[in-house]
Amino acid sequence: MRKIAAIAALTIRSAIRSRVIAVAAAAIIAVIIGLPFVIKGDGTPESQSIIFINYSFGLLMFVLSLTATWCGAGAISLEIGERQIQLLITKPLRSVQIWAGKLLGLMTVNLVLLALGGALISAMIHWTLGTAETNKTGQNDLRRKIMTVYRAVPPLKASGLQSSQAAISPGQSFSWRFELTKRTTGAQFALLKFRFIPSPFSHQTPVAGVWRAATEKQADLLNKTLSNSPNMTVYLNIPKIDPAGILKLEYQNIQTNPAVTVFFPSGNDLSLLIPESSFEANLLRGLIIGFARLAFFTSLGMIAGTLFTFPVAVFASLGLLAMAFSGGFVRQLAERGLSTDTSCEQFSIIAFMLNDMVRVSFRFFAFVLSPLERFDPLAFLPDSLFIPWSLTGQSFAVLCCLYPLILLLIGAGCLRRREVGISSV
Amino acid sequence: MKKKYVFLLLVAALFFWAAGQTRIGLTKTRERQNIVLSDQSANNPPFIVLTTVALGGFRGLVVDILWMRLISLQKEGKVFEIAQLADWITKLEPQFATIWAFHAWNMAYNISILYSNPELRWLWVKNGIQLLRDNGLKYNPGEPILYRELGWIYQHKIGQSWDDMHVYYKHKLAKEMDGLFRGPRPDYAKPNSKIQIMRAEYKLFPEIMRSIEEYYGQLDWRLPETHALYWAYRGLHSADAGKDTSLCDHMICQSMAAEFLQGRLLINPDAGIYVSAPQLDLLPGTIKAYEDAMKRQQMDIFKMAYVNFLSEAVFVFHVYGDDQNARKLFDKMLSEEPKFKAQMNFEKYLLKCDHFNITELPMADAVAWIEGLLYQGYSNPPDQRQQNAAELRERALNLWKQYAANPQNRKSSEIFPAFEMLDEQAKQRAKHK
Repeated sequence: MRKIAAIAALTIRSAIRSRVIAVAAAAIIAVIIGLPFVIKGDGTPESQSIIFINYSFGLLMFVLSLTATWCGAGAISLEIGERQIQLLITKPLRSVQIWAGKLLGLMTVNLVLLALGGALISAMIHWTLGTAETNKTGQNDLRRKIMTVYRAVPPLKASGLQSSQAAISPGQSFSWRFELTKRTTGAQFALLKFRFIPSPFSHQTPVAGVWRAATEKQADLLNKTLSNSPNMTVYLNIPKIDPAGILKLEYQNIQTNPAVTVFFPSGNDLSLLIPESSFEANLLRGLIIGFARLAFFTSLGMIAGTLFTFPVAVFASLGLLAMAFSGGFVRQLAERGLSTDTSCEQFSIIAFMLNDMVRVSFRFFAFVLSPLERFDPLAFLPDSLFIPWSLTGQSFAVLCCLYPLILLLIGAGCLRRREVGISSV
Repeated sequence: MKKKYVFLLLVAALFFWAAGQTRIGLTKTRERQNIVLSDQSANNPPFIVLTTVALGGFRGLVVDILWMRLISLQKEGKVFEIAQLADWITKLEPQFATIWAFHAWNMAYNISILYSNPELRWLWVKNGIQLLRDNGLKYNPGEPILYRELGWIYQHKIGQSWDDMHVYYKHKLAKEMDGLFRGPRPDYAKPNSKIQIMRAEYKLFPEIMRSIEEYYGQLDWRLPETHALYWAYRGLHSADAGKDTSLCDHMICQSMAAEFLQGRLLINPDAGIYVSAPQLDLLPGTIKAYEDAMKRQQMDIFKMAYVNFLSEAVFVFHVYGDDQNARKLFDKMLSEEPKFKAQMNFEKYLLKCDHFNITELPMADAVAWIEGLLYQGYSNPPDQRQQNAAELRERALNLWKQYAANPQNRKSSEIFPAFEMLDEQAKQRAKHK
């Protein structure tokens, strides 16, 4: 262990010397402090705060992922290129120890930078809320809105139905049931989050409906007639929900003139949000997931650096990084390939083969990168959704332990077999 | 070895020359398609130069990503970020006038309508206005389409009644302008401290406002149509050579016609009062607007619109009891469209006007008719007044009841004025005669 720690210390020292860390730290500070001054929301302080959380965390993760991949790629390949690795391999060290030491050193650097970024985000969000142009009550409301994190409770699937989708004709009603856990006991309030699509689709003006909610002990928890615009995510306040049990929610479509049918397309478009935690605690969980993602990128860079020279390693690992940040692009290519219409007669056999090759290779990438999509703090933080500890733990286990361990074994094996003392022209 | 390097150097030079040749063609195509950065880029702020030049070929890619995010967020009903994304997209493609126009329209129309809260709706309408007024026109001062789009938000979104919260917008605009001018228009002779806000925030330049009023007549700057006129006027006079300005002329004519029909405003935002009635003094200015447009654009559509306006003006003057002016306008109409001579004479036309079904008229005409009858009652010579006033008032009240009772006029019901208010307007008008 001491050997690993010594290599980790050497790696930290060389990372600091390389100035990449200083540049990354400066970029993080500049971006997070400068963001509130360039953000232009819709004119409300709420939008300003939400956009700040989204962009600052996204940029923090982007800068750190880039740094992690770059440093990871250089950790082994540069040492081989500059003949410094010879000092290490001539010592009684196993390649696994060299690899693990370097990974540990880089992860320490990641941790420091991530902590710096997290602290800055937290400080700046408080500053943004404090300077919001609103009165005292408005500021308290805003603070409560932004600094409270909610657990999303999806509706239970009705028997005989595949999902919680609903199509409600004019004059008709539909009910959903939500299972309230003991955690909800004593909750000050809950929010009903919903979004619907109208039929006819061209109907864009508000649609009238009645929302009713009741639990076994509270018969009249909610009874509200509302006119809401289609396609718009709406949050409706439900007063104190006390007992654990089942909450029954009913929507009655009273939009008869003109007649509009209302669709709730999926469970994502209707959920009950229960206050669960504070923003800071959620940010901490988000940062832990972010740390796990950085462990993955660092190991990825290191494996590329073990196999190739520095420029090739950087190119290959940054390519994978770009894919990871490309949203649904990889998944789309994995599912469809390059062409969306392969039924066409003019589609030649070569094009078919090319398309299949692309599909197969992107299926591999989609498989490798799938945990990154699953463990994405940005799917939770801007929407004030609670990041469960279980998800945080899983992300740590998969991205920070399992993946790096597999890559460590592969990397150490490659390093052992690689001819590192070869002379250059 | 040396030969190899010479060969490679030659190949590199050949490729360099080939790339240069391709660029000539590309530049020409860009110029043809009007997608080349104009000379104004030299005066653009550093941010624009940085994004348009430093990003190079990646600019298009960044814009694509931003567009995709914008579309997906809008689909999901998460519109917080749209203003930010629109700001970036437009700044990455500052010379594409249609992109500015699209984003302003998207915010003022598509996004605003998603909100049921009037304050938030107004915020998005203003976001659309600000995007064009504060940035779009800054980078494209010679693009008449942008002036027209900005004027359209005022004329259509705020001025007309398609949006069910149009009354709220009208009050908000009037209140903002009232805060600047303390009345319908600024005192050009004595500029006050608000001039700076007018210039910096609203881009309302007193010298242009003054020249508009000198040319068309005194206007009420609390009305959305006046702002539509202002921006169309600016578009007409700032357009680069060769640009189509017919849309600005359209807007000037439409705005002046609206000013003539509803340019006299009685307003009290706190009491929810917003009554607009005809401003008959604006007739010469409106006629000038149409005649200028016909001369400038040489398009039949302007002549048709002019004839329509004249026929409406004949009706308005008739209901206000000024048949002498109504006849002059009728003759003007016939001189513009001689084919009507065979179909109609002045007396027949007035008879037709008297038998209009008020419930089928647009609200501005209905208000004009009712207020016109009341005005006649107040402005007749003193000996006839007692006798006629009661009769005219009775007729006006009947018309008001018919119009108010018709469910078709539901959308305008919020600003269809109470009878007493119209009565008061008529009394004031007669007093100022």
